[in-house]
Amino acid sequence: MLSLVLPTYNEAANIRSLLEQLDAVLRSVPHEIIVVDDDSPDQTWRVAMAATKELPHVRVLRREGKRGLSSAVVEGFDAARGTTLAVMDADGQHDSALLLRMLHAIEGGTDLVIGSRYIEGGSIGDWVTDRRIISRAGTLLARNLSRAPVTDPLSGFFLLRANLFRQVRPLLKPSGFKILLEILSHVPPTTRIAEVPLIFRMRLHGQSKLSVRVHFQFLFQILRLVFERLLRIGPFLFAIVTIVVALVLLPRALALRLLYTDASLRARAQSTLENVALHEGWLLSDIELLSVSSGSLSIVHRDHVRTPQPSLRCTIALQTSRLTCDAPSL
Amino acid sequence: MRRTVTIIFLLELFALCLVLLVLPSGLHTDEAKYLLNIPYPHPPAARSFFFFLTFLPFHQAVVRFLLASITVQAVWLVWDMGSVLTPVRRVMLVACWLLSAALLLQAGSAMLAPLTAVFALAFVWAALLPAGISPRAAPFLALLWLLGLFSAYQTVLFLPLVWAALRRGRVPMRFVMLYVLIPVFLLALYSFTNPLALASMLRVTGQDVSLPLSSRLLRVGWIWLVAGSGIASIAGTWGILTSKKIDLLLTAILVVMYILLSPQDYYAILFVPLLVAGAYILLCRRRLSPTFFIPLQGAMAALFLVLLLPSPHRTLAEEVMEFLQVQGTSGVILIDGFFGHEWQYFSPVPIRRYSQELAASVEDEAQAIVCTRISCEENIDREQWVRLGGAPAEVWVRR
Repeated sequence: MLSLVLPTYNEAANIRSLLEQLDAVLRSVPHEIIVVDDDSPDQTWRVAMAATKELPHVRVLRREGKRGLSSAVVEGFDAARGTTLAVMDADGQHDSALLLRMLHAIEGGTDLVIGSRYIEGGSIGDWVTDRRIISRAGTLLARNLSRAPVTDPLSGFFLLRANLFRQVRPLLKPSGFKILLEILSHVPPTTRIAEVPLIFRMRLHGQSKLSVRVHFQFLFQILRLVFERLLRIGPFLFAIVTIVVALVLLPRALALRLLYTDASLRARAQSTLENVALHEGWLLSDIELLSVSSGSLSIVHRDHVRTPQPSLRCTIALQTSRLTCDAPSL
Repeated sequence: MRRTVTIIFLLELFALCLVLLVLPSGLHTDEAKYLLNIPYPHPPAARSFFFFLTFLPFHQAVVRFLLASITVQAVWLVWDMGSVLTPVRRVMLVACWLLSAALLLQAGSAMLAPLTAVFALAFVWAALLPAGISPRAAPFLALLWLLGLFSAYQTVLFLPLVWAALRRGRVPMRFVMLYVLIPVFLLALYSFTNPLALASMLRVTGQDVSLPLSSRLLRVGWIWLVAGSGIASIAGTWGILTSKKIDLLLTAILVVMYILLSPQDYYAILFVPLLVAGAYILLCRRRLSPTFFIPLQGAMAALFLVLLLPSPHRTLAEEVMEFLQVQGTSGVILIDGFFGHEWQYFSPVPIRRYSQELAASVEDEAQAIVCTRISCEENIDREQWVRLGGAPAEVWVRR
C-alpha cells in the first residue's frame, strides 16, 4: 500500500482540488493520503476533513502548537500504514501523475525514488533568477552532504520503502523544510536510489513559504549535518592531531634529554645560562633552549615585546661560557 | 530564535562590563606574560593565540573581552545542564555561574584561570550528561581535553571528570585510556621541551613552602567562599558531598590540594564549575527557595565585588614607558631593579637587565635606563647619562 503524506500550512485554496486529483491518479493502487496540517490559520485541516466524506482514503492530522515541514512529514510517515511512503507539496507544484511512475520504480526494487528538477527532462520552471541561484547553491551544498550521489537532494517529492524509513528514523532530526536531505544523510550506503525528471510548476493558489527564516533553517541544517559528518572522522582527527603534536615535540625533547639524565650537566648548563644572561642583560624568559650536548648549549634569544623582534640563534660553550651567535633573523 | 539572540547580546554586554570593571586596575605581570606569549609556566595554545592578536588595536582590551565573552557565554552549558530542572531552578543554576564573585572578578582579566574554568565546565557538563558523551563525540572531547591541557597545566586537575564522561558514554575502555592519557603524555613531552616551564613551576610551588598549614587552610576556605559568593559555595559543596559521584569528589579534592599547595586568589574560579555541578545535583534532589537563593547570591556577589575589586590605578610601567615614548626612546631600555613582564608589554623597544658593563658596552643600543629600586644614582655613570626630570620614576637617558 502507498501512504502519501501532504504537509500543509495555509493551503485551503489548493487542498481540495489536489486531493481529488490524487484520488483519480491513485485509483488503481491501494493507497492512503495523510494530510498533516500545522493548525493553519486558513483552516486547511477543516477543508481536508470535509473532503474525507467523499474521499475515504484521506486522513487528516491536525498538529496544534507545532510547526515545520520536516517534522510534519516525519509525523505523517510515523502514522502511515503503507509499505511505501511518499511525500509531495500540497500547493500543486509537483505533478501528481509522476506518482505511479515512481511507485513502479519502487516495485522494481528501488528503495528511494526522487522527483529531480536537475536531471534531463526535469526543470525548475519559471523561477525568478535569485531563487534559481539560491536553489542551485543550496543543492550544490547539499549534494556534498548526501550519502548517495543524487542530483536533487532538496526535492520535496519522493517515495521510499517504509522499512528504510524505520531504519533511519532514530537518526533523523526533523527541522526546517528539507527532510529528504536529512534522510539521504543517514541512509545505508547500499540503498538503491533512482531519480525521475520533475518539472516544477507554479503554485496554484496562495503564497510561497520561502522566507529568510527558512533560509536560516536550511543553513543550520547544513551546518548540523556537516558537524555530524565531522563526528564520523573524530577518531582520525584525534589520531592526526596527536601524531603531529608528538612529531613536533619529540625531536626537541630528545635534543634536551641530557638535561634530565645528567644532573651535573644540568647544574653546569643552568649556571652557564645564568652567567650569559647576566652578562648580556637578557631575561631568562627570552631564552629558549634548543639542544644540550656535553660541551655546549644551543639557544634562541627573542625579545618578548609587542612589536616583532628578530631572534638570535646562539651557541654557548659550557667550559668557557663563550657565546657565538648567528646573524639576527625575523 | 530572537530571544536567544537577545540573550547572547545581553551576555556580551555583561562581558563588556566585567572587562570595564577590572581594566582600570592595570595590567599585571602574569597577564602581560600571557599577552606576550612568554613561554612559562603554561603551554602555548592559548597564550600564542593571544600574542597572535597583537596586530589589533587595543590588544589588551580585546583579549580581555574575548576571555570574558567565552567565560560568560559558557553559561549556555550551565543552561543545558539544567534542562531537566524547572525553569526557576534552571535560573538558580545559572546564577551560580554568572553571579559567582570569582567569575565577576576574574572573567575580565587576561589570565588563563577563567579559560581553564570554562574547559572544566565543559567537562562537568559532559560528565553530567544523562547518558554520558556519545562514542562518536568522544574524540572531540579528547581534543578539547588536549586543547585545555595545552592552554593551562591546571586543566589536568579535571582528569577524573573527563574519564567519567567517557566511561559513562560507553566508550570502550581502551579508547578511554587513549583519549585521556595520550593528551597527558603529550603535555609531559611538551614540559620536557621547555625546561623554563618546569623550573618556574617548581619555583612557584616552592614559594609558599613556609606558609603554615593553618594559614593555607584559611586561604583555601576564603578562595572557596569567593568562588561561589558564599551561597553557591555552600549549596555546591553540599551537592558534591552528597552526590556519591566519585569523579566529582575526586576532582574537588584535587583542586583543593592544588590550591593548598599554591593558594593564589585567582584560582577561585577553578572551584566554580564544581560548585555549579554540586548545585545542579542539589537542585535535582532538594527544594531550595529561589526567592532567597538568587537575591542572596546576587547580594553576596556584590559584597565580594566591593570588598575585593582592585582600586583603579595606572601601573608604573605604563606611565614610564609612555613617558619614554614621548621622549622618542629607541634602541634598548635597561632596567635596574626588580620588574615584571608588564614593563615588556608597554615597552616599544627591547628590555635588558641593567649592569654597568652593559650600559657601557651597548652604547649604540641602550638609550635609557629606568630605575625601579629606591635609587640607582650610585650605579650610573653621570658622564654618559643624564637624569630626566618630570618622569614617573628615576629615568636616565644618554647625554
